[in-house]
Amino acid sequence: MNITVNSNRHNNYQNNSFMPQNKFGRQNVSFTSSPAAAIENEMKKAASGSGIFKPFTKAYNSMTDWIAKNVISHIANNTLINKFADNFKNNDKLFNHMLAIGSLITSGLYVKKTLDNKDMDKDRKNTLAINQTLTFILSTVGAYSLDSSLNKWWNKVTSKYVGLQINDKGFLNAYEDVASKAAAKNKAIKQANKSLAKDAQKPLEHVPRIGEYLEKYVKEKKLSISDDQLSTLSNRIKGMDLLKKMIVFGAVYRFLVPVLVTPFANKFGEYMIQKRKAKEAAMKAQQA
Amino acid sequence: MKINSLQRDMALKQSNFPVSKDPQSYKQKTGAGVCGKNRGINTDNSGNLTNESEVAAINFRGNLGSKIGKSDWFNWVLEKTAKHNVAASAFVGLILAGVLRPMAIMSLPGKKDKDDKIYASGQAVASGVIGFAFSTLITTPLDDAIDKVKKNPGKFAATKLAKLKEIGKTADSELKRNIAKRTAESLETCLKNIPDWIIAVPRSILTIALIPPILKYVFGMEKKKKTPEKTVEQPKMENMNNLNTANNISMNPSMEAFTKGGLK
Repeated sequence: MNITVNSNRHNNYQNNSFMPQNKFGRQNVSFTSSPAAAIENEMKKAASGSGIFKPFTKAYNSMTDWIAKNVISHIANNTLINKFADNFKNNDKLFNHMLAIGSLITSGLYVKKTLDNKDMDKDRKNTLAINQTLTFILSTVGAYSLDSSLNKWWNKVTSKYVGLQINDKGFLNAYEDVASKAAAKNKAIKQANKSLAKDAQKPLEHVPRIGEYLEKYVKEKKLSISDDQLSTLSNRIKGMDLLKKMIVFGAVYRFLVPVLVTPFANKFGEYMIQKRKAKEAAMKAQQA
Repeated sequence: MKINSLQRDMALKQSNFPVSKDPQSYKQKTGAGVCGKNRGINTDNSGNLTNESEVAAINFRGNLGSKIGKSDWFNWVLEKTAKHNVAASAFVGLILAGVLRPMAIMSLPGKKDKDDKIYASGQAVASGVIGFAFSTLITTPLDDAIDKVKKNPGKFAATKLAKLKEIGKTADSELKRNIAKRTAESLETCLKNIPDWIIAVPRSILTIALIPPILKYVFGMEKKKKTPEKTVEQPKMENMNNLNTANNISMNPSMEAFTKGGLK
């Protein structure tokens, strides 16, 4: 392991940015000492098939090659999947749908298990199943709403992040300008389309995503960023978007809604039990 | 291990930085001033932001954001999130279930249910760990395979993806290129996340089945079965919110929503 320790704090400013020089016009010093970089190096070593990992890496590579050839390529060529992907290509909520469907399957399983439980009486089973279904619906609506409400802010954060990465603070304003203009145009088109027949309706303007606009911006500004660096940055931008969605959906599904629903569910449960007891008491009184 | 040290002494004014050439004027231009001679102003204002401390706060916030944005670990997290959707999602779940949920459970009022709380916390941690481990184990090879196909669709005979990639690079208009890229991206999202639907059922079953032994043998926790008399004394125990149908754990219902991990 080769570690370079830089005692000059001012030089750290540009670490991990794609631009070769910092704002003082100095060359950056590359760091290989951070834990993440060290892990990455070890992973690269393992991936290249050196050292004790060699047999495992080889077996793992063969396995992933086999999966790529026999599973993934078949799915990627599947007409239905391609049609689905084509339909959702302009939809920014595709990943949200994936998470929601995953939760639907899990919730469905719990509901089924509840209904199949022989140790519970019918009333309790039904109320519990309804509770689980309502929790799922409430969570899904809440997650979608929260995610949408954070979009604008998160786009700003992502643009700022891109600006930091390419060392160009102007990127944020440039992207916001382009996106807001396109959004305003689309609003006008939508308004105009309301009074038109379906065939005569105008198509909406293409609103560039941050990654798409970045490519254009780099070309326009003639920034010295290679294709590989651009591809890495595009991946990171995608990661930013997914990270937000994961946190929002995870927090709503796994934390917020269960916490919020619990007191109401308890009260409703108590009410149902009291109702049942009152019914039983009334029946006993009638029999007596 | 070879360690090199790059030493620069700012006081020697050896670099081209403006701050090195004239530290005093640089400080006046860019500094927040909180370390200057008039520092006492901050304490006199009993908590209100002065101009200087406000600048310092903004600088700090800006610096923190910049530091995170430029840090290796954050970029690493973003790259892994983009590559391993399901595992990253499960990791977020692990943080929520393994850290935040136990904290929320333990902070709930009620001294009577302390054992329930401890058990529920352990169960939340266990479910987060199992969910993450299972998802990562199953989807990591799939993600790596998808990455291989994505990088070289021709080699693995993914003809449609290869065509989209070709259009994305060579189409004459920017719009066509972007549309092809979006379709390829959408296809990739489907490929990465549909396995999560397939493993959702076995993962849930496995989680439910493994939680009791993991709690017993790893965390050393075992749920004591409550006596029927006690159940009668506490009508809440019969609550409808008892979700643990598979392993027949009788618990305080207020814990259930936490222990089950919501919907995942």
